[in-house]
Amino acid sequence: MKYVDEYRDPELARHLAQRIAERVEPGRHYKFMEVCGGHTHAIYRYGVQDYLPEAIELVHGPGCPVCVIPMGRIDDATAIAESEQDMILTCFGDLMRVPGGRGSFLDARARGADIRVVYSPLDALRLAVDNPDRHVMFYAIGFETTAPSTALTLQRAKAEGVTNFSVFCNHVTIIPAIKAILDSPDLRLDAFIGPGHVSTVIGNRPYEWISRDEEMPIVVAGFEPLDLLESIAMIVDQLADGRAEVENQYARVVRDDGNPVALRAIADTMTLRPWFEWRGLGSIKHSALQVSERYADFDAERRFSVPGVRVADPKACQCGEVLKGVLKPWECKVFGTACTPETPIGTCMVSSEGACAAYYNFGKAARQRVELKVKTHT
Amino acid sequence: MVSMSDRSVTIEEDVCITCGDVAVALEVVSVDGGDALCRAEDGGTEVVAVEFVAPVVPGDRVLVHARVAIEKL
Repeated sequence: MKYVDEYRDPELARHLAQRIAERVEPGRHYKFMEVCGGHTHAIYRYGVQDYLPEAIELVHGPGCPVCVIPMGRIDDATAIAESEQDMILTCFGDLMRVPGGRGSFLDARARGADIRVVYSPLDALRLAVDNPDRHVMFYAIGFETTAPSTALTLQRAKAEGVTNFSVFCNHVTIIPAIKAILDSPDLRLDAFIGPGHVSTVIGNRPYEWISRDEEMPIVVAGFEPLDLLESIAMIVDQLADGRAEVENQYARVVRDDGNPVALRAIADTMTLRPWFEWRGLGSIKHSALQVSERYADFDAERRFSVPGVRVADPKACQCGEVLKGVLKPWECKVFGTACTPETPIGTCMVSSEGACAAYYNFGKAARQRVELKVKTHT
Repeated sequence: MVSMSDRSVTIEEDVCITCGDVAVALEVVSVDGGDALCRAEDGGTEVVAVEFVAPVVPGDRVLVHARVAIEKL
């Protein structure tokens, strides 16, 4: 398959692995964080870690929006769905099993709430148009990759004069999360693997402060195994050369300025929240979006009574430490026992791109470490 | 992978839309205002919003997330 097969060639992977191994500094331990859930998924799925020298540790960051959503935001939407007559709550499928304080959306649906899975917010809008006697609320969630689809839906809803549609907005932004990670005293990182499709929208420039102020490399990466290995090779090259730069391994998709049209649509329909709570990271300033004043008629938080529920995470759950990269998934006390993808306690086990679910699905099986016929420094 | 038909999309694999980095490359078949009929490599088709990557013409390849094209490839 074009654009796929050429990025999964085992021989090229071995060449990249050799290049990485040859440039690793003897005696040094490296920690690279991928902040994107898609990368976490790919790393486990393709066994990328197995191609790396043991000196390189990949740390999984908070790049899965489902994983960082606080339980109270699930309960808030459930409360609206259960209290408003004729309400249809719509959401992406992976949100259905996220546990809130009063259970998940699946549980609420079992209690009688009308909660439906959609593939796109545009489908939720179409549902509203097709059901003029009902109100359709879309639970918007995701980083800057997903925000454009919500923005476009809001613009179309307004242009079409739809009055029975609203958005419960939980979009988050990647840069404040990276800043929060860097401010965490628990973690020392050497570099970041930058998110590929988020950067398709925001571009490479928003990362420049990481190389300038933190003197840390960041390489925006694609999602195939060779993309990730090449990105890691580029990071290792930077560190070996004493450089700290923003580099773009995913240039076949990502432009320096991102997608300005999509960014304008987001700016038109949404504004930054003063604060937003992230699971595991606490409240982070200007880290999330809310529906803008211009689109107030479509803002579920303005139209309906929102309880503002705050729920403490279950004591056994260590998602917060996993999300900050302090703990590996298998180091959590309930991983794979009380907490599994079928019965998740923590959000990291819900989404397939959460670090725990990804490791549970792909990392558990013992894999033979790839024998690299390379000379490594000793 | 994601399998598509004209009116519906089902997710057959354990992918997560909201993580934002699930996006698929599709080829534009025809354009109708802000929407375009696009085709995947497996032959499945889907109507995609293309305002953010306009103008597009048949044969262009676009990166699609949640039925919205976010980049022209």
